[in-house]
Formats: sequence, structure tokens, C-alpha cells
Amino acid sequence: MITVLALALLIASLVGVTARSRPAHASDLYAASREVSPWWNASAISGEYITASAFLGMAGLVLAYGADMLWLPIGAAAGHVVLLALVTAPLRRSGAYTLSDFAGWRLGSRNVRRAVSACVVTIGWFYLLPQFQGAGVTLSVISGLPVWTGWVVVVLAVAVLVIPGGMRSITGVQAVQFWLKLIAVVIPGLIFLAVWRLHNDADAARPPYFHRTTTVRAGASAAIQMAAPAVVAVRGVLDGRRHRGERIRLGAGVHRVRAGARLRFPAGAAVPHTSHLTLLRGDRWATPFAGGRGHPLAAAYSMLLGILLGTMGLPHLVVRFYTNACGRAARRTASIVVLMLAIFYLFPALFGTLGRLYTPELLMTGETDATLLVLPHRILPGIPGDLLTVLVATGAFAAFTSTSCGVVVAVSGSISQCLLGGGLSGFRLSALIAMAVPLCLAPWACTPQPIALMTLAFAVSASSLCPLLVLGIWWWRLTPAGAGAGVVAGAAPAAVAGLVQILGGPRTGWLGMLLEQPAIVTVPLGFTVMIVVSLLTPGRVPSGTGRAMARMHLPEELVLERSP
Amino acid sequence: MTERVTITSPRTRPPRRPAGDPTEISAVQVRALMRAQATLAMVTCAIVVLVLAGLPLLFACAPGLSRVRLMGIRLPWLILCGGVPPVWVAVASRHVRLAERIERVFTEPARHE
Repeated sequence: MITVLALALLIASLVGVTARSRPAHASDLYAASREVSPWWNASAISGEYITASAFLGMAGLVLAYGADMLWLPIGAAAGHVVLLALVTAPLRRSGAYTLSDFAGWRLGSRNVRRAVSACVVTIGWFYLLPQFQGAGVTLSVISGLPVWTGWVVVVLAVAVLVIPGGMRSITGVQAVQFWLKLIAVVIPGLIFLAVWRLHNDADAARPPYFHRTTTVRAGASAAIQMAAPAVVAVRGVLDGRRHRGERIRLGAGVHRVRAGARLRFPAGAAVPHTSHLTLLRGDRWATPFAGGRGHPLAAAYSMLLGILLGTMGLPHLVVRFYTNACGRAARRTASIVVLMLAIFYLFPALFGTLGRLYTPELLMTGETDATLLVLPHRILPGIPGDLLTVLVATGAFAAFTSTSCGVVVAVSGSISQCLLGGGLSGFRLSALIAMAVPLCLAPWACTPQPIALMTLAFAVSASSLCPLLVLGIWWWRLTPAGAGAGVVAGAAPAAVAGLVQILGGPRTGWLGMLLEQPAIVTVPLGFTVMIVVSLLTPGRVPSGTGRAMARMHLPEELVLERSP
Repeated sequence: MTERVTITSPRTRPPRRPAGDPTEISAVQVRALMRAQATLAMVTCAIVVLVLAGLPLLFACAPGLSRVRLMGIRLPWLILCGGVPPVWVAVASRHVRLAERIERVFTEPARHE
């Protein structure tokens, strides 16, 4: 397994090194001097957007929660359609490097600029945290190393890639890594599909059971629920008693396993679930809104709203359109991104379904994120399985590093331009700060699902930066006071809801649903406050609004004619 | 291939920039261009919202749908994984095409002088 890991890391780092080049100016560090073609840039954007959570986590979510998780990929791709329709071309034409620059340029207010920078940094950190967590899980699953080594590996890779080369090196790395990730899902996906169809066509919709005798090792102490009684050989501590391999009958209900215990289940036994996963009986796994969670329809709408509008406020994505030559190229890039994501997102549902058949014990250990890494060996034992594992692990590390790189560049751009004057050394210093904070937070944030942090980042972005962008681009009467008030009114409740949920707030009823998916309340709040306060301060519409609107919406050739 | 003229949207024709001094693009013309682009953007977003709001409602109101199978795959899975992504791709490329057309028509008089 160590060789698998070494190979994967080697390939991923080779990709990084060969795509690197030296920067000439500070502006190269942020935006690659605008010389990137739409296809290349679209690959880079998709590469950045397909995070570790999408690459590994989505399959795990489908394995655990079934049909209800299919909304995630759909909302994610739709977010890019909305981004294309409302934001890309005008934002590119505005000439702003970052979202903070855009706010400062459009509204001429230092305070709004600071509020936006604070949002960007918050979103970035909440986004980086699950990347680090995912890397830790991946490394510990495939090599048995402690979780923190994964964090260190990712931080080192990002430091090596970002600090010397900035954005241009990143564009190359991101673009290549997108294709790497796509290959890393398409090839195993097609092979698995063929093998599955040849070997058996068991229905994934029935409650998961062990297809053959399986030994499961509990990685951490946990409560497990048995759906049906089973005779299990136990080595280790179960329900407070030590066993040495004798067979005991486990009744239906909750049992406690101590870390390190080994349970040997006979073929045909129902798979127990770890306590935070709901047992989905019958065909509820395959049926939308049957997952037994409270208010599933409202939760689905709230999640979709957050992802749909949150995409446009992800600082590392929006900054990338600056590397297109003009607004038109930016628009084409965005539409290619939609195509690329549509292809990529075909696969998580397949892997989740296969996971339910071949790796059901992950429901007991709770390590559902590892589905894609464990599958190759289950489906194809031996050398082919090894090779596929190398491929998947390479893709996973590409996912960690590429997303982390993009977010670190965006966050450190904001920090350095706001606090350190925007020079080359300022950028390098703030890149270190951008990575240090989530690294320090990683040991403390022990959420059951890293995806919770992602939806938090999306909700914050949808309720603060999305209103700012949409109204800033399309509405003449936006004032600095309105923009500032709206950003704060939208971001604060979304961030608070996320923090309460991470620290363990209520998880049931309407309140629990809203804490988990706050977008349905906070997005309208952000928009309303921004519009109402702007209308109440009509005298403070910035004097340059007309010029700004012309620059954002007129095709470049007309603007060039006007300012010889 | 060539039937790309008919567009069913409230906008009758994209605004055209009157010939004359190219440095004189008034705020009124910018507003007209913005209105055309905004209408297009609204239509695109409306399609997206319609699909995203309609499908959950459909599955919630008709749970029997998930027992229907097509080619061995349950209908909701088939729609969500195979049916919706192509719609997004089509909507995105349609938006790009029409937005560029609006810009082309707006710029044209300046080019023919």
C-alpha cells in the first residue's frame, strides 16, 4: 500500500513540476497575465471546482444517503450556468482581479472592500478545512499513517506550487489535474461497470448485506446499529466485554465497539450502521425524500439555493476568469466548464451504488469517504486492483492540491492586497497565513461530514457575495451603505448557523434543518437588506456608476475606441 | 443549421448602436444593451430555476415514479444523472450564442463606418 501511495504522490507532483514556470511581475502571480485560452482555462476552473469532497465525498454520500444526494452534483453544475448568465463577462470586463477589488472599484468604499475581503477569507478557510480533512482520511485509509500526515503532505505540496509561481503555474497545474481527475474516475468507472454487469446484477436498492464473509476493523470507538440479529466472531472489546475470537449472537439494536475491535460477519448478514448514519430499509435508499430526515423537500430546496448562488461567490473560481483575454472568452470558458462538470458528475452516483454492493462495511466504520479508494480491490483483486487504486489515489491527491492551491491563491491575494500592499513578498507571506490558519483549526473541527463545511462555505457566499455581484453588475441604484449592510446581514447569520451546527447544535425539526441548510433564509435576507438600504440612501449612489456600467457591459472593442 | 433567428423571448430586437461618433455611447444606449442582456440572463436563470424547483416537487408529489424502471435504472436516478446535465449544457451554450449575438448587433454600425 505504501508503494501505491508513493506512486500516486510521485505522479501528482510530476504534473505540478512540469507545468511550472517563473513569474515576471506581481500581477502574474494573481492572474497569469491574461494569456490563457478558453479550453485551457475551463479545464483549470473545473480542476479547481472538483474538490476532494466532490471526488471522494460525493460517492460516499450517495452510498450513505442515496437518492437525496443526487441533488448536489446537479446544483453544482447549475451554479455554473447561473454564474455564466449573470456574472462572468461583466466581471471580466470590470478588470477587477479579485472580489474585493470589484467591490472597491464599483462602490469606491474601503469599508465595503474590507467586508468583502473578510467574507472571502472566511469562505476560503471553511473551504480549505475539508480538503485537509479529506487528505488525512485518504492517507490513513490507504497507508495506515496517522491522519495529520495527510494535512502536512497537502500543505507542503501547495506551498511548493503556490509560493514560487503564483497563478500562472497554477493554471497549468489545475488544467492538467482536471484531466487527471477525469481519467481517474472514467477508467475505473467503465471497468467497474463492465465487471459488475458480468458478475452479478444484484439490486443496490435492497438494504446492504455482506456478499461474502467479511472482517471489519473498527477504526474508532463507536456505537453501531444492527438491523437484524447476526452471529459474529469478535476479537476485541464489544459492549464493554473483551472477546478473543469466539462467535456470539448480536441482537438487533445498538452495540458499542471499542477502537481496534475486529468483527467477522458471515455472508448474507445485514450490514450494521454507525450511529450517525440512518438505516434505510426497503427501497428508501433509492427513493428521493424517503431518507427519514426532517423536512426533506425544504432541505433540498435550501441546499440547491445555496449551491446555485454560492458558486458565483467562490473567490478562487471568479478570480480565474480574469485570466481570459476578454469578456467573450470568459463567457465561452464558463460554458465549457458546464460541459466538463456534466461529464464528471456522471460518476459519483455509479460509485455510490457500487459501494453499496461491494464495500457496505464502510457504513459501519463511517469512513464512507473512502468508497472510491476501497472499491478497486473489492471488484478486481490483485494487480489490476492495485493499478486502479494508484490511479484513484493520484486523482484524489490532485483534487486536494488543486483546490487547495486555488483557494490559497485567492485568500492570500485578498490578505496581501488589503493588509500588506500587494507586493511579491506580501503575497508569499499571506500565502503562509492562508494555509496556517486552517491547518491549526483542522484538529479541532471534528464534524461527522466534511460536506457540512462545504455547504457552510456555499451558504455564506450565496448570501453575501452573490447579492453584491448580481446587484453590483445589474442595478444602477446600489449604494456603498446598502452593499455593506447586505453583505454583513447575509454572511453573519449563515456563518453563525454553520458554526453552531459544527459545534453540535440541534439536528432535528425546523431549527435543525435551517442550521444545516441556512441558505433559504439568509439569501433572501442578504438581497432584501442590500436593496432596502440602498433605496433608503439614494443620495449616496457612487458618482462613477454610469462609467462602471458602461465598462462592464460594453464589448471591449467599443471601450477601447472610447479611451484612446 | 441556419434556423437560429427565431427566439421566443419578450425582447423583440437587440438594441442597435446608432451610427455616428464612436466616442458617444450615451448612458441610454448602455441601458438598452444592459436591458437586452438582462432579459436573456433572466430567461436562462428561469429555465434553471424551473428545472431545479420542479424536479424535487415532482418526486415529492409522485413517489411512485421511483418504482418505474427504464433500462433497469430507476426513473429518478435516470433523470437526475442522465437527463439534467445535458439540459445545463444546452442552456449554457444557448446563452453564450445569444449573448454574443446581442453584442454583435450592438457593435455593428461602428464597424461599417
